[in-house]
Amino acid sequence: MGQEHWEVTYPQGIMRYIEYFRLKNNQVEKYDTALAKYIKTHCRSSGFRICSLGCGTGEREIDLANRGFEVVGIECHEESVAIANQSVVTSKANVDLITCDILEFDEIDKILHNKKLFDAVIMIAVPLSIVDHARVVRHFAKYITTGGMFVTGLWGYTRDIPREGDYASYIEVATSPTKDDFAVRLNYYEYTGNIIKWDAVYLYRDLNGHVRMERDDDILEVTPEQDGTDPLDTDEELFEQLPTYRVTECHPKMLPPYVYEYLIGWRKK
Amino acid sequence: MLPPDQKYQSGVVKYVDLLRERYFMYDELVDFIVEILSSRITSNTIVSLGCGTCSIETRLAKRGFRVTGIDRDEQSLEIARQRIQKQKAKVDLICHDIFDPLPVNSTSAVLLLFSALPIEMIKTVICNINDILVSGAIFIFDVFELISGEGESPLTFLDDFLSMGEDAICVSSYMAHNTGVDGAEVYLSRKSGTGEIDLKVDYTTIPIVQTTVLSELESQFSFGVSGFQIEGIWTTTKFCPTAAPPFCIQKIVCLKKLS
Repeated sequence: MGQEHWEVTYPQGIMRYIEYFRLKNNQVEKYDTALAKYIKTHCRSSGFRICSLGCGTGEREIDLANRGFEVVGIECHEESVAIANQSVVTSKANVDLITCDILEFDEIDKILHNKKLFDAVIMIAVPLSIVDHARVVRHFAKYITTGGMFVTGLWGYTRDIPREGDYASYIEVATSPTKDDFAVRLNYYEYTGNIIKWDAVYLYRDLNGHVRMERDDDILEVTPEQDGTDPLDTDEELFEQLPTYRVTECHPKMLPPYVYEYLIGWRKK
Repeated sequence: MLPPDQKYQSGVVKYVDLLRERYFMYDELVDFIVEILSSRITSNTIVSLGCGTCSIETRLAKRGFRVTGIDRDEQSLEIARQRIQKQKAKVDLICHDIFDPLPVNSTSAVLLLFSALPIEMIKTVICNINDILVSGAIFIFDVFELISGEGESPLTFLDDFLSMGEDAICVSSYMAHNTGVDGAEVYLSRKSGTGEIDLKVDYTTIPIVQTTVLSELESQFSFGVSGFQIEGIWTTTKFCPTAAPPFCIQKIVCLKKLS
């Protein structure tokens, strides 16, 4: 696929506005209904302890905590963690947040080595390369209890893979939770095989009332579902691959055009 | 018109109006409305619910109708007043929510166009206007039908309003779902003098009437409003190809109040 590693970064100061779109699009409650069911169906360990990698602004983690899970969220983007911390305080949810890059394994080990093992490690909607996905699963295996699982959300195409150079673009508007502010996002998606390059230009009014424009970009790697094949090539001696589950609970607009999301999991032997 | 739970952002209606004037073929649409009305009513008075900026109402006034426009949005009515004054059109305006009892009576023609209301709310409006209609009165409303469904690639447009005397552009995009079309219209304008950029948005979901609902409506099985008969249902898109948002066709429904 060529490139195997890319950073997930954000321009300074726009997380507040990205959050408007996440609240509108992510449909966390519906998604988590599918996710919690998937975990409860396949998990063979007795606890309810979850570690969520790349937890962002913590919306999912608070929702999972409200469903009875004990949640640890790990996120490297400080602005996101600050927002997440605020929400955790407000909601009084049982969520512990850690600021760390999930690919900085030495740092991760320092933080997690003396912590209780997890019944599930999840990584949902994190735009890492598939190679990095696999590295993360391999590394975090030691923090999962026997019978526990690793669950990740991967992307597939809803129709034939778009042709080389195909693109889609559109504009979205999202409001703040209090409906007194809004932000505009111009999305541009370019499809090359399983790689989708996503450019997003944000237009918004900053806290001083000035109109501002910032660009963010991401790379999404689509991993078509294949019967019996493990896209992450996880260690078969360590993990048993679980059936995939296509997330149909959410409105498709949460994702780029032609893309759907599915859950795939591995249970620790 | 806006759904009951939404409000226009301050200052956006001026631009929404420019966009509509550019695309919605009001002249052709008004020709058609006049054709429907002229063979069915003798009076020349019309009440238009959710009249907005009065693009349709001023055109009807020019065709000899005496129009009363009712709308709850003061921002839209202000632009309507300017249009009425500029065109010296005879249109009376009332600032009023059409879901409250209406401040008019003995009416022989009522319009509810581009309301973008779900069919259930249109039924509520029909019940609400029943009292003000005379026997044989005509009620005309429109609904939108989806002509392409979910999964279609979104459509994005870029418009500039320089030719319309405004230093502004609009970037808009529409996405179809089975229940409606999401529209986002973003207006960027430049203030004269300072050159400062301003940002306004209008975004809404246009509810979609399923073909099955419309055919049931046509055969009067499930319309659920007694005391009316259907005079006709027409597709305006045949003569106004841009009378509807992308992915949609506009259907004009004409009801007649039975005596």
